[in-house]
Formats: sequence, C-alpha cells, structure tokens
Amino acid sequence: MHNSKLLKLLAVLLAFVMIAAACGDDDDEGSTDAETETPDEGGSDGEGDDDTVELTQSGGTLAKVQDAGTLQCGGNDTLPGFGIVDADGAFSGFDIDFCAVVAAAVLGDSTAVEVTPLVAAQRFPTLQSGEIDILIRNTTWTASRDGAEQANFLHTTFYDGQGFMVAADSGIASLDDVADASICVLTGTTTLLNLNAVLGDLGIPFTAVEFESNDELNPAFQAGQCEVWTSDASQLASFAANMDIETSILPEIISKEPLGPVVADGDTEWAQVVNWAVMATVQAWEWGIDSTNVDDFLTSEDSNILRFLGEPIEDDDGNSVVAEVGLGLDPKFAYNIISQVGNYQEIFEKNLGPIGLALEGSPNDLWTNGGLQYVPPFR
Amino acid sequence: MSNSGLSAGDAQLMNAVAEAEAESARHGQDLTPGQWAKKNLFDGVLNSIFTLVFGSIALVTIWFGARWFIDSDWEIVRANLRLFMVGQFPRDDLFRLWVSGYIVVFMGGFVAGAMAHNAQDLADMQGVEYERATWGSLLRRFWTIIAIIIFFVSFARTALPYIGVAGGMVLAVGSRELGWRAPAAVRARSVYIGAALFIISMMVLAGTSRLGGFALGAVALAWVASETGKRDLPGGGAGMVQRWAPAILVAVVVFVVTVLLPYDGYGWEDWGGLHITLFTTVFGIGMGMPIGILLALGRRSDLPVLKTASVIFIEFIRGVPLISLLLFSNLMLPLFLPGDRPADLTLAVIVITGFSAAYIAEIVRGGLQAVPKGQTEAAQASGMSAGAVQRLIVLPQALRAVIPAMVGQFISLFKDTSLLSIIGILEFLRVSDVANAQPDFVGKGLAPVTYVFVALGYAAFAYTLSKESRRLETRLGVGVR
Repeated sequence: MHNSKLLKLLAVLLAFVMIAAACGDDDDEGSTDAETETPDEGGSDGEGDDDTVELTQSGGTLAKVQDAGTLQCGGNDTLPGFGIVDADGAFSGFDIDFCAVVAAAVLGDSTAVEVTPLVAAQRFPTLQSGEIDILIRNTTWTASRDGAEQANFLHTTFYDGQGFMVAADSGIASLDDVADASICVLTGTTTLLNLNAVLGDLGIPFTAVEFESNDELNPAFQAGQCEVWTSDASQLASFAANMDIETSILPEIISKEPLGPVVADGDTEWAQVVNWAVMATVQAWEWGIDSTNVDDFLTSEDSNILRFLGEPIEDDDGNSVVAEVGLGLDPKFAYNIISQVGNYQEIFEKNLGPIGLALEGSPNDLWTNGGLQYVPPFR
Repeated sequence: MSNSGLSAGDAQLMNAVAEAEAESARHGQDLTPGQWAKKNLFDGVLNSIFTLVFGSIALVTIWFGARWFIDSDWEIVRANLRLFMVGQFPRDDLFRLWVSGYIVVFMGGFVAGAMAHNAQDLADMQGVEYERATWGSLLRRFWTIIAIIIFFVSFARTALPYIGVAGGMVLAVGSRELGWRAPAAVRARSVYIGAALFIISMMVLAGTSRLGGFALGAVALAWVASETGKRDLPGGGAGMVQRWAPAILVAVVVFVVTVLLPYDGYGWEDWGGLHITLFTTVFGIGMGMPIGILLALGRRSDLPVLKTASVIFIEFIRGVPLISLLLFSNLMLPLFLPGDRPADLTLAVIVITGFSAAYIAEIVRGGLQAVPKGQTEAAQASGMSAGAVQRLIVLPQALRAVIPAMVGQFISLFKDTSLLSIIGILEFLRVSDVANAQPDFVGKGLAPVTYVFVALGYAAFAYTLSKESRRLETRLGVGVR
C-alpha cells in the first residue's frame, strides 16, 4: 500500500521533470546561435564533435557582441599590474587593456567593455557558458586546457615564467652565483618542484626556505633570511615595487608560463578576430606606430602601413581602394585600437612598468630585439 | 542606522518585564567602587588569582592592540573607503545611494516610532505599564551601529560623508518622532507605508523597473485587502474616505514613480562592498523567513506530495555546503532558467534565499513541535478554520519560542554572505583583497589592516542584531515562563 503511494509520487515527479525538460528544449531552440554553443554536457567526445560541426557554420559571437554593443570580458581584479580595481571602482591593468583592444577592434569603442571578475575555478566554466565572450585573466596556455577545457588559446600577450629575485647589493648576477645560497619559496607549489628539478639538473647546491604564504615570505626576504626569492617573474616584480630594499631580478627564467587571451572552442571567426586585434598592437609597435603618432602614419608612403590602418591604397589598376582582409571587422580596426588604447609597448609600460617589469631584454620584447613577440604580416 | 520595528509587544508580559528590570536595578547599587571591586573581583584567594591573571592578559592584549592600531598605516582604508562601502557603484551617481539610504532610514524611524506608540496604546488599553523608549535607552540599544558608522566615516577625506551621516542620524531621530506623533489611522497602517517606502528607495537606486511597479502595486493591494477585512470588525468601520484614501495615495505614488518619472538606475550587479553585504542579508532573511515558515508547515503537512517536496528541499539544501550551492548557482542554475543569463548576484541571491529558508524551516519546525497539541485542539474546538489555527494560535507561539535560534541563523547568514567572494562578487570582505592588489599597496603587508577594518564592521552589526534579539526575548517573555 505504502509502496504504491510512493510509486505514484515518483511517477508524478517524473512527469514534472519531463515537462520541465521539454520546456527547456523549446527555450533553447528559440535562443540565439551564440547560446546554443554552450556545451551543456562536458562529457563525451562524440557529442562534443556534433556540437562543433553545428557551431562553426555561423560562429555567432562576433555578431552577438556587435548586436549587444558591449564586449563581455572575464578578468582578474586582484592581480597587480594585470587586473585590479582602483579606489574609484574602475578596472585597470594589462589584461584589462587587452579587453579594451578587442572592444576597439570589434565595436570601435575601447570603453564598451564589461569586465566580470572571475576567480580561478570559475574561469573556464564561465567561458564555456557563453557568459563572457573572451577570457583574459593571466591564464597559462597548456595542452590540457586547450583540449579538456574546450578553450582556444590565442596570441600570447605575456611570457611569464619562474624567475629569481635578489637584493641589489647581494652580488648575485646570474643563476650560477646562486650556488650555496638559501632560496625562499612557497611550500607545496610547482615553483618548488621546478626549483628542485632545474637547479638539481644544473648541479647548483642550495637551501630551500619554505613558507606558507607570500605575506610571511615577503618580510623574511626583506629581512635577509634568504638571499634569493623564486616565484613567477611578474609576481616578484609586483612585490618588489613596494619593498624597502633595492632588488633585481635575474635574467634566467626556468619555466614557461605563456599568458594570453582565451575564447571558447567552436567559433573560428571570433577566435580570428580576437587574435588579429591583439596582434595588431604588436605590429604597430614593430612599425613604431603608437597612440600619439598614429595620425601621422595616415599619410605614410608605405602601402603596408596604409593597409594596416585601413587607409585607401592603389590597387593594380590604379584605383584607390580600402583593403578588406575578410575578418568581418571595420577596415580601420587597427587604427581604432592604436588610437584608443595604444600599441603593445604602450600597454606594457603603462601597466607593468609601475610594478617594476622591464620590457627591454625580456621574452616579451619584439622578435627584432631578440624577444618572442612576433606576429604574422598584416596583408 | 534605523530602528527595526520590533517594538510591538505582547503587552501582557510587560508587567513581568518591568518587575524584572526593577529587581535588577535594586541589586548592585549603594556600593562604592572599592566595595564593588572587593565583592566581585577579590572575593577570596581563587577569585583574586583569576582577577590578576586574566586582568593582566586583558591589559597586555589591549596595550598591544592599541599600539598596533596606532602604528598601522590606515592609508589603504582611507584611499579605498568608497570601495569598502559601495564597491564599484558608479561614482557619478552616488547620490542615488544617499537618497535611497535616507528613505530607508526614514522608513525605519517612522515605522519604529509608529509601532512603539501602537504598543503603548495597546498596553494602556489592557491596563499594563509600558516603558517608553528614551533617548538614553535608544542610544544604549544602537551605540554599536552608531560607533561603527562614526568609525567608518572617520576614514573619509571629504566633508560630505560627515554631513551625510549626521543628516541621516538627525533624520532617524526626527522620523521616529514623526512616526510616534502620527495619527492613529496612519500608525495602524505604518507597515504598508514602510513597505512602499522601501520599494521606492529601491527604485531610486535601481531605476523604475516594471518589477518595482509590480511590487508597489502588490503593497497597495495588500493594503486594500486588509482594509476590506477590517470593515466587519468591531471598531474597524472607519469612514469610506479614511479607509480608501491611503490605498489611493499609494496607487497615485505608483503611477507617478513608475510612469511619469521613468529613469534608469543601477541594478544590483553594479552594487558592492558593505552595501551588497547588508542588502543580501536583509533580502535573504526577508525572503527566507516566509518561505521557511511555509516549508516548515509543509513538512508537517499530511499531504504526501507537499511533505515530500518540503523534506527533499530542506534536506538537500542543509546537506550541501553553501560554497557548492553558490558554485551551483553560478555554473548550473542558468541552465535551468529560461531567457538570458541573469546577473551573478541574482543567481546567488536565489540560492542564499533557499539556503536560509531551509535552515529557518527546521528552526520553525522545532518551534511548532514545542506548541502543545492541546492548543490546536482547543482552537479547532472553538470553530477556527485550519488556516486561522496556524496563523493565530500555533505560529505566534512557535515563532516566539525560537527567537534565539532564528537570530543565530540571521547572524550566521550575515557572515555567510562573505562567501559570495568565491564567485567573484565584490562584497565587503573581498574589497580587502582587491585593495591589497592595488599598485600603491601591493606587497606592503597591509592585509591585517584591511581585515581588521572589515572584521570590526561585521562584529558591530552582528552584535547589534544579537542585542536586539535578547531585547525582543525579554519583551516577549521567552524563557520566563
């Protein structure tokens, strides 16, 4: 008797669930393409493939952003130099400026950005859900993230890596001088594993002094409890900015942490747009175009620069035409980026200069100066 | 900041309360400080040792605490005071916050004053004594809130916050007086006036959305319904005009505010800091209470579907950590909701409301079980309907019995709102992290300073809540009988 009651109850509940599911399906069909991209089931590969086939046909994120008039950008609000909130409540930082770069390219207005601050665990699910159009939040490009997280990593904006900081008067100038030194490091991190592996391979003896958090490590380092502090170079620089002692960062970087913009898998059109918008800042730097002199270049003799800035150039028949690269963007998108935000060097020095990161001689320097910033030609 | 309308009392118990207070006043008087110290602190060897040991520990703690307080660099708080108070609320439109805050203060003062007067009238009618609140007693009740507001404002760099807060305190006092002196007909309807004022304050902040108009309309409807209900009561037969005028007034206000004065505001996705912490708490309690009571009744119901649904909801929510519920709200809840993805905070508030409802339901159920079955049977025997039995006989007794547990849950919810930080919402506690990442302050080890600032804020509000609950317990005689 009791059981049959329970069964009836279950049947009623099941009916409700099925009706709810049916309603849910209807809603999905009525929504935009951008929303159907949402990989509801993160599970089997077979289904994921089906989704992709359906999605690449129309892409949709570009149109969605242009319809909405604002770019939804996932960022950080607690990382010095890369993404912070100032006392007036405004976002600023290196990563935030690259959101502005994409907005300038796609919408012609670098201020049409809405930044959603994300904690680390949230970032990929939020990107997959379509709530944000682009994720620029000091996210390291790795194979598993590219694959399993259904994320699409684009042009690296910042080559970070594990570095070493010493007091300026320590007499340590390179990794070789570190021999027999004591090194401050956070316990239980990949930083510690890297340190042991790399210095072990090089045969450099050292003593690791382990700390639970940077709040404890920082005063210890300044008090001279250890000669060297190892962490990500960007983090070392941000701490160095407010130290009572003069410091320097050794040139050696012992790990690869490429950070850059990420978009969701399955929308090639949007990925290309973001990629070329970001790369335009590097190209402008290479040509010496910045926000102060970009208007002078509008009358340049160089047809490559004119094409880059969306100015008319003479084609083979002698007609004056504006080159269309077929990205679905305003031909003047690079001009908008440079005039409204600036080139890569300007963005770097505005945001990362104050926390003590040098561009010159770092991996982030231009390829012509021996760095890694190299972009394909804009033609 | 404002009186919470807790003044309406069970007048019959006031005699007992007044006696108890007089009793306590008789003790502990007529002693010089020296005698008092001898009697209380150095009464025997053991007591003297305790006094010396704990006294020196307390002194050392206070000494180092004060030293730390004075030596610390509070510039990070001064620079970021607005961020702590209102988060990223657009700085050009801060007047909206001030205006809506003033309306809320006025509402609180007015309703508290009106209800206190109502309570006195009731006490007079029943021939019991009623102790009217004096400025001194109000100051004793709310000194923590006043102190923390002054502490916050002391970090301001401009005169405006000082003037604004002073104005708010004058308004609180004045509106309470106004509520006290309002005509009886207005005082009887002060709850509706308060609700309408609260919604209007929200509309000043968030714009005149359709939602605000609907809410105001609902208040007006409830008002009309209660007027209609009063018609048949003895003494409720006020004149036609008196009965309908207030409702018509509200309808006019709804019309004016929603139709004639449309303007945009800032929804809660733009709010932050202490503002969002307080708002989420008030919303979680205000929505969680009625839902929780319904869930508790549902769990005791004889209808199997209702009962099972209530049990599943309560046990599921109570069995899952709030952090995972918040992550669920952020990552999965949007998949179940139709239309565009709501703001993160909307999703979080849905979960927080459900969370507090589930806990309140269990607390209320405990209270319901404490009400003797004879009460229900007697009410049924006297011909009351099932609804009336619950509403008039069982719930008032059940709720009164669980005030301490309920307020404990409110305080817990208030602190739990800091978990909103794990889904990236810039609430009061998280501002601390954000401020410590700014270029001027990063790596200076200022986290203790900001954490202490935030902790004092939480402690002041939680302590006031707990003090008010004890006052309410005394007034309602919980634990006396």
